[in-house]
Amino acid sequence: MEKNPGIFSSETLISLTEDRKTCTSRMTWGSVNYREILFWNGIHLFVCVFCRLGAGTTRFCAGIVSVAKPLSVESKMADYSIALYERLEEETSVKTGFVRTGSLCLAQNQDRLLSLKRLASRLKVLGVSCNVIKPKDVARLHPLVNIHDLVGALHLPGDSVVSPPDVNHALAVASAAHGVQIYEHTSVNHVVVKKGHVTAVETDRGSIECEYFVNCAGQWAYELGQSGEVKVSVPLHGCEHFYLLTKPLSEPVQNDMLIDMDGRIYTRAWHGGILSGGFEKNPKPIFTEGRNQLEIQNMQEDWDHFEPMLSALLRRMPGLESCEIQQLVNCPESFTPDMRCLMGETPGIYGYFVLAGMNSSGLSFAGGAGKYLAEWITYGYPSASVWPLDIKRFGNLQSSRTFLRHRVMEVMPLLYELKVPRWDFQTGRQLRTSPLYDRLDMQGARWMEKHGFERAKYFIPAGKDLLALDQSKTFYKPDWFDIVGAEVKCCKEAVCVIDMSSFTKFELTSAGDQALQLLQRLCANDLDVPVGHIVHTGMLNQRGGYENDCSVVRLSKNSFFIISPTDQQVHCWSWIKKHMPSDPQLHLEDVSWKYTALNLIGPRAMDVLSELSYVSMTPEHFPSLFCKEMSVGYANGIRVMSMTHTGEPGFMLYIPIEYALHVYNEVMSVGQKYGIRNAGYYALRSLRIEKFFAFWGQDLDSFTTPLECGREFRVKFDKDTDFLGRDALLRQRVEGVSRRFVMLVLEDHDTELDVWPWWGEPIYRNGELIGVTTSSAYSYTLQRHVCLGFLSPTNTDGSPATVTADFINRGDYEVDIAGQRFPAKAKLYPFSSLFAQQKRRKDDMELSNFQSK
Amino acid sequence: MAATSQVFRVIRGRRFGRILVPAITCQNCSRSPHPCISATQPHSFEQRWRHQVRGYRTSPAWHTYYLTPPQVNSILKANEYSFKVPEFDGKNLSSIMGFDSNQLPANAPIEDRRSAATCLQTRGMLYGVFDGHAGCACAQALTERLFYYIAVSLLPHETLMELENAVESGRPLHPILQWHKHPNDYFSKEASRLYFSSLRTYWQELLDLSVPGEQPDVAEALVSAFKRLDNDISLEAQVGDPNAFLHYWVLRVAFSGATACVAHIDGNELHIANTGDCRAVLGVQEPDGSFSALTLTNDHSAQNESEMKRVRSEHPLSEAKSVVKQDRLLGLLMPFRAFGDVKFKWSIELQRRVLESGPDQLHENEHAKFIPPNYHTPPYLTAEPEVTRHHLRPQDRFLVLGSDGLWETLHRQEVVRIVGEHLTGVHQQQPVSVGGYKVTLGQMQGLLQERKARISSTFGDQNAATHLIRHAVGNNEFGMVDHERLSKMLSLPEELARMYRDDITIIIVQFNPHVISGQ
Repeated sequence: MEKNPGIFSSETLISLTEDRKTCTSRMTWGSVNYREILFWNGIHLFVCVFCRLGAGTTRFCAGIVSVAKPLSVESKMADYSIALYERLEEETSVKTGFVRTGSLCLAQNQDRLLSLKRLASRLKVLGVSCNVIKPKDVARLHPLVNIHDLVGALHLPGDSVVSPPDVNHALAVASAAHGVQIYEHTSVNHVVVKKGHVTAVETDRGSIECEYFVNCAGQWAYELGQSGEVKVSVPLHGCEHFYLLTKPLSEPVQNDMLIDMDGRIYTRAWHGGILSGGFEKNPKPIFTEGRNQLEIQNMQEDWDHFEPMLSALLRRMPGLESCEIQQLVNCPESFTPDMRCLMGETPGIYGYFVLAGMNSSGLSFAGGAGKYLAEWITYGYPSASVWPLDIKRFGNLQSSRTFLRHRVMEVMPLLYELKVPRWDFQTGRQLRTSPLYDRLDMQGARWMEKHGFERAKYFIPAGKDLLALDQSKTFYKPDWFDIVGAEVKCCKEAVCVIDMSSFTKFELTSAGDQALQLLQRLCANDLDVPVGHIVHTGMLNQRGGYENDCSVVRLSKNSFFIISPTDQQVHCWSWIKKHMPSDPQLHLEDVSWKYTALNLIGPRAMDVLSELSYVSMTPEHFPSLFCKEMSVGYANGIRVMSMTHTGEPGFMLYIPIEYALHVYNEVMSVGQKYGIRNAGYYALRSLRIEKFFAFWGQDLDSFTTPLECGREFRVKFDKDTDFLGRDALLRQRVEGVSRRFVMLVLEDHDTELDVWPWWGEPIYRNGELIGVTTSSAYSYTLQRHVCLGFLSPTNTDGSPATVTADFINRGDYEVDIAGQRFPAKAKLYPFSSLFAQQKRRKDDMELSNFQSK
Repeated sequence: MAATSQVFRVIRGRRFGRILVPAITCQNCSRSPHPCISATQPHSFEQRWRHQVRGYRTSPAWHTYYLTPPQVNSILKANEYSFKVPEFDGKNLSSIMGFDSNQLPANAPIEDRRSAATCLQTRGMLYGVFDGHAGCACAQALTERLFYYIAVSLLPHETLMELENAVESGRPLHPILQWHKHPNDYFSKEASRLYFSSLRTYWQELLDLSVPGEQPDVAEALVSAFKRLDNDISLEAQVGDPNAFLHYWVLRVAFSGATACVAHIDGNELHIANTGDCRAVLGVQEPDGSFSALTLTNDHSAQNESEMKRVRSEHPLSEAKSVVKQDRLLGLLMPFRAFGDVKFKWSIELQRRVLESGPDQLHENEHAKFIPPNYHTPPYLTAEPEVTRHHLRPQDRFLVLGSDGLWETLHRQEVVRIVGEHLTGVHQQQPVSVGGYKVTLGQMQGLLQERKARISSTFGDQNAATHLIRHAVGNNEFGMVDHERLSKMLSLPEELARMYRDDITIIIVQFNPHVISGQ
């Protein structure tokens, strides 16, 4: 590794043709170890490279391209990469070492096999060929493998290997042919930002003006982000990563790659020998203090550290025992706080893009990530929903080096760990908490984390075995089933309290009507409502897709209170800021930290509140979707809103934090006689899914329009303002929708014995693949599992077909859970709405919710 | 039988027993049951060893006896002791962080002793390791008395005055020492009155000799205390005591022997007083984090040339050949300096007279009766210590005091490495590198697993001294703790244990580099 302090490096090559407007741009990620800086200047593309292109440890990169990724969008990216690498050799006539070897993901236990089966059914949706095979088939495909402890495997014939330095070279050749200028031995000092836009890049060889800049500095992306005057948070942290190279074996090795996640190792054939690495349980974080650590850190082999992986390798392939060692390679990889890569435009600086933190799958994501980012730069958005990878899911709060160091130590082993439904990160916790955290914890709360905020999942009743409950890691019925059931029952029959303080809360105020004008432009619903009304609305993009799904309260004529999902804190802020005119009289403030939110759900909520405030809370006096500032207990100025995000009757209380404990205590003591109890997010989730409420980030994304999810009633085409996305929606209204959000109720599914649905399960209609689920929950009311998902049928020629209610109602549906198909009934409306319609007007129904999976 | 032959190989070349006594006496004493001293059987090992080894090879009785790791641990940890200097205000103001000590018996009962105490009237802490021979009586007396003699020697005139006045007027005494008692430590009640009166005589003499306002020099005080105590032991045996038990006890103390190594640490000043072949080694941390050993004592044995010269010079030329024979003093005693051992100090007439007047039990002790050959110009032995002064530096991390049982199994460099790695928690194992060699994956796995086992054994020991004993007893050819070997060595029957190892006593004092560098 070259040592050259003061020089940043990146990992990306870009290739593009002619004009920005008409280009078919294609940008390709080389590998995690490419050390180049890339930026874009008009139609010219410069790539600044620290040292040589592809220098450093690049030549040692494992070169595995596999589509076995946890997210569909990641698999899609890997699939694109494979196609690209295959094409590259023809186009550039540079050898890339591309071989379609296929890969085998081994399962040592039934749970692992289940997770592989789930992966297989997801890959089939993408059209990737794969099959689940028996151990003896593994032995046939790869005779060296010891199969005595295997229960099965997933065979992916399409997976490939390449030679990373050659791919790098080929990309450089291809780029150069398209006019890309590559500056080697050039370091980027910092990025010049004027008025929130990237204007130039200062290098050690002078300044280059540019409109766009992509921070692809890999390991150093964090530091490069911090180096400018305007800091950019790129939350990633390096860990040392080891793999072994052997000398050639006496008999040729089978080509197939092996991924033995239970043994935490991967192997591929390499120059007649074996290349094998892994993701150990005790990773060694590196570069916490930045690149100056490079001096003291010797990137050397650490055999003692590699011992568990070597043992796992020899257990898997005992025949290798007599094979000679060539080298143990140490090549650091960068990891992110949630195992997903970072891409997209950074909040706050226009033109500053990031592509980094590949979690050691750099080569797999390279092609796809490059393509999406190029589209993003060119058109303003990528051609697929990449929200799980969007850098805006993080903010400054994930920028602490200590947090990152601790979290990546959990993330790296997690790559190969078995991930069961509803797993949570264990490190970097208790960063943001509500003032009631201790009170709730004392009462048995079990916690999950969202955007750094601790939220209660459920409450363990006194006397339950706490240890046993922590072992709820299963694909089947979890042990909290009855606990959540009791909480749901209480929500339906009495009253429950859920602390929902994690929500993102903004206040938009103005001197004149600028605030209203801005919201009318951003929101599809009509915000010009009387003061005190709450409006559920989407914030749509030009294509009519949801950028945000929120509830807006009109506090006064010119001030609005905007409630958005927790992880929208950065994204929604930057979306509003982007469309906000620079008017000193228009003011947006993030007040998330100022309020504790308590959700009182249940028919007796109004009794509790009226007792505490001496105000009648019946629907006649306090209609649904209404907000009033009132006193609760001794505390005055509590914003009480008649909505619960679940479709159940009840109230949200937005309490200034210093009153939080008082109000909570009062509510709990007065609520005693109404049977009040604490509840958690799992109960909330069950309630909202059985009411067919979609959740942004899980069910809704920037490619979903209100028409596709049955929310046309929240779009006011005839309001005075031409809101964002109006044209696209009008067009869609004429043409009809090609996908439709439905609710599927599983029949014949044994809750006790069958594998539970999670999300990402394929949906079949009349035996044909028609869609994918996006979330699911057990409905205690229906006593069945409910899955939410999208149906997107195609015509016989493969083009998208229009979905009609009739089409949905006439069809036999099945949901594929880990390879087993369960019959399901598809619904366009929730069951309870039949009853609800008698009580409430349809408009009053609030169909919003922000809780996560 | 591979394992047995391995043990067999290791014991070859080891030294057994400190005193060689003609085989004849052995046969005698093995016939008659010995009331006291004979229980320790320090002599006749050579003989018995040959006999027994032959015996055990034919009998499969004991080598099938294995110990589980918890059993091994309970044996190793039975005598361990740790002391952390308490912190004030979150700061440790002492140059010493604390100490770990432990011992593993080979003799039954063990003949090694150890002591640790804080001087209350002056500053400083005292640590001592005592290796007894020909019984434990002398070493036991040293643990009870030597530190008092040192502490008193260090007292300035004014404090001595107060002390004497308090005793004179029957007022309670301010304690002089605060003992850090080890498990199984005992002080003999009967002898304490006698010990106290000897001590009082000593400080009265010191009072006469000292001048008000003058601080005693530590090195001089140590020498004076050592010599005075040995003198008192000798005198008490000559004078005897009306109490028959006590009379017998003082004779046992005088006729047995003990070497001593005592460290006195006051701030940055470290003094080591050594008599015999215990050893004090300083662990010095190098800038690269590794540890090197700095030996602070010289062994008083035949391996030390200046000692050879000294011994020879103290006796007429005619004795030049007989005074050291087979690397032993008069062909018998391994250490060239020791407490007690009046057989090497008194004239033949004095020995005869004392023995004749002594209690009956003594007459049956052939060992006591036996007069060394070529015994012409006593004394041949002295208790005068060699004192080393060392100014502690920040890189001096710890001090290891050990009886010769430790040093004959582990090289000092190895000792310091093991302790250093244990205390810092960092394993400075040389990283494995394939280099250009041909190594197969299987070989590498074997090597790595051994290294892992070595590290994991470290985590089991809280006490550095225990950890060191584990290595001393259980190390195999590769310098790694081998459980099978450890289990064998610890399950040896009492009568065999002494042939494979000596008593091991270790005190490890950890220094506080922050305080040391601050001063």
